[in-house]
Amino acid sequence: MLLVPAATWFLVLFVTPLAIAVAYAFARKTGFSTYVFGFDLGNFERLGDAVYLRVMRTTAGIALASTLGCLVLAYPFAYWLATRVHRRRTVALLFVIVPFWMSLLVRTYAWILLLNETGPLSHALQRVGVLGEPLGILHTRSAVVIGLIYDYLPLMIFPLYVSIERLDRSVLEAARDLGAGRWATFRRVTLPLTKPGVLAGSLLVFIPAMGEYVVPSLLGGARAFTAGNLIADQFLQASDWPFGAALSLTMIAAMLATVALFLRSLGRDAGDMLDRAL
Amino acid sequence: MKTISRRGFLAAGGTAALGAFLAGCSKTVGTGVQPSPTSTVIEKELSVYNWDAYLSPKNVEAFQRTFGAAVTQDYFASNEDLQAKIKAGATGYDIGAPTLYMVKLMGYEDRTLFELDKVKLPNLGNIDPRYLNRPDDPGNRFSIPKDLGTTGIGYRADKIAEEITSWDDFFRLAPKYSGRLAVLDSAPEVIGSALKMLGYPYSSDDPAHLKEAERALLTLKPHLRAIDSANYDTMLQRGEVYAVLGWNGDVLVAADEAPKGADVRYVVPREGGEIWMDCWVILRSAPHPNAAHAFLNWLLEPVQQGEETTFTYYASPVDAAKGRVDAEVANDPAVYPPNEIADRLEFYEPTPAGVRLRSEIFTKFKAA
Repeated sequence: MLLVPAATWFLVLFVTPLAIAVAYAFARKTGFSTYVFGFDLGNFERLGDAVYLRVMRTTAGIALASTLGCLVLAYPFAYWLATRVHRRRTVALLFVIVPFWMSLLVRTYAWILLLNETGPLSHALQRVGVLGEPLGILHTRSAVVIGLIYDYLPLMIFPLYVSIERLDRSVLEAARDLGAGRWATFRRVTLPLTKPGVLAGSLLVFIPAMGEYVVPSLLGGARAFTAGNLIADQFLQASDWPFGAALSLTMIAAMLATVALFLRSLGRDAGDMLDRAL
Repeated sequence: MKTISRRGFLAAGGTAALGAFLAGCSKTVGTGVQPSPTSTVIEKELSVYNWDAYLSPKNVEAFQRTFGAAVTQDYFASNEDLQAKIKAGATGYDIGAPTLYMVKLMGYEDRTLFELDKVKLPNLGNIDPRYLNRPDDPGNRFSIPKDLGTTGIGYRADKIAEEITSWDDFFRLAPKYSGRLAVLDSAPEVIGSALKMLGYPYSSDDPAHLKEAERALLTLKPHLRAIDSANYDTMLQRGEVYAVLGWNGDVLVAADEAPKGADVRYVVPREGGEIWMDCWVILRSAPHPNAAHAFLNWLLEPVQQGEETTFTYYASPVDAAKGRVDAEVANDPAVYPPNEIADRLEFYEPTPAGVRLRSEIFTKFKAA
């Protein structure tokens, strides 16, 4: 009996939508926008087209670059927070999530103002002589990566902070005593011990980045068409729900495989680390 | 001042799309009896589902003052977006603004539109008969002409050395101005324009014609900066792109508000292009059908129509409104195309086969 609420939740919010998606994925579009249900593999056959594989590659490239960017920025910050800030640490952590209080759409539009050719960044870089011409970064893949790093940075910071904070300092001292320099200590002691945090953070950034829709739409331009855009277009532009459903299921399968790989490499600490970070 | 385009608004999509998708699955669309407006007393609210910047704020204010009904607006990004959301069961909206071809799909296929009560719309008589009783909605069962526009080329004459007069120019000059071009995020317009360049009908559904159009578009693709219906006019205005495939009103508003030195022009290409008519419709699920009828009838008066054209730069179907439009706008051939240009324009008439091929081609085009 105690399981009823959980089972209901699972059934209504997970199994039912998934079943509907499966039903659509094997349906066929006829007329302007009517669908015939059945067992039609045509939608999955279309996925073999090189064009769609290229979209997946673009998306994975953008998601990977964003994940790495987040990691490089978040690690020093999380390290500083966990080891150097002693008073008001909660306040500092709160500041990390302040941007989340604003709508994603507004924050993304702000980047359009910042990055455009006649924007403040472009002017500043030209004035100090770094650029000889206006900044041409808006509506490129780089702009999408910048937007994603900005949006997902907190998701990387928290798991890293947790794992660094739990790090046993005496281990670091032991490394020093045994003659390891700063770099060697970091590479051979700190980094391996905080690996669960690195992997958990990467997972939290990479997965939503793969499905991102708004940021590429606004910052991406013609060369950053991602899987999220492709799927949204099937529902909102092409009226081709069956193909959209087939694409979504394929994405889910790919994501599950990624998560499985991550969990395997993380080992036992994985769930624990994710729990704490969230 | 308007800074985003008429047909421009990015619906904050992912979750909304999913919600709509789920809602659509549990609902049978298009059955049930239409609730008829029973009263001449209008409701105190009105909800308009519209393209962005596509209804004069002055008119909205005046209507609220006169009728005491509060108007709220929500925005969609494309005809297909509007259709998908309504079909999937989005409710709460009274009025929509689809293009004529979409009236046919929503009214006669999806059956999501309200059959207009003509008794409450005496001002329909103000509309030039040319725009009434079109094949896509015989007898105007579901739709009231809203305005007319064209799909053509907008460009910066101060950035592009050549004079642009044709689709062929647009495609041919693309390599020279690589990365400085944008096209609408809309399959009918982009593919139709390529078809016109190749000398085929705008609405052709011949697979051979469409294959050729696809090839032309794939050669254009590497040179595009953006595929966008929301911000392309701003991009043109500030010089991020030098030429766009876009709608006349958007480009004209951008020209009007352009910074000093920015010479923004609009041209209907020599090969021809699209003329489209957007329509007001009342949705079958409208919670305030009486207010909707009152609003649309009131809006058809020449004064209000003139204000609309002054605001959007799109031509009104009410001829008497022309005298109420700012002279500068009324005399602009890009707003009211003279006959020799109008002769080259075609309405989009979709067929199921054509729509399917267009959406597949457009997906490939965007992904390439």
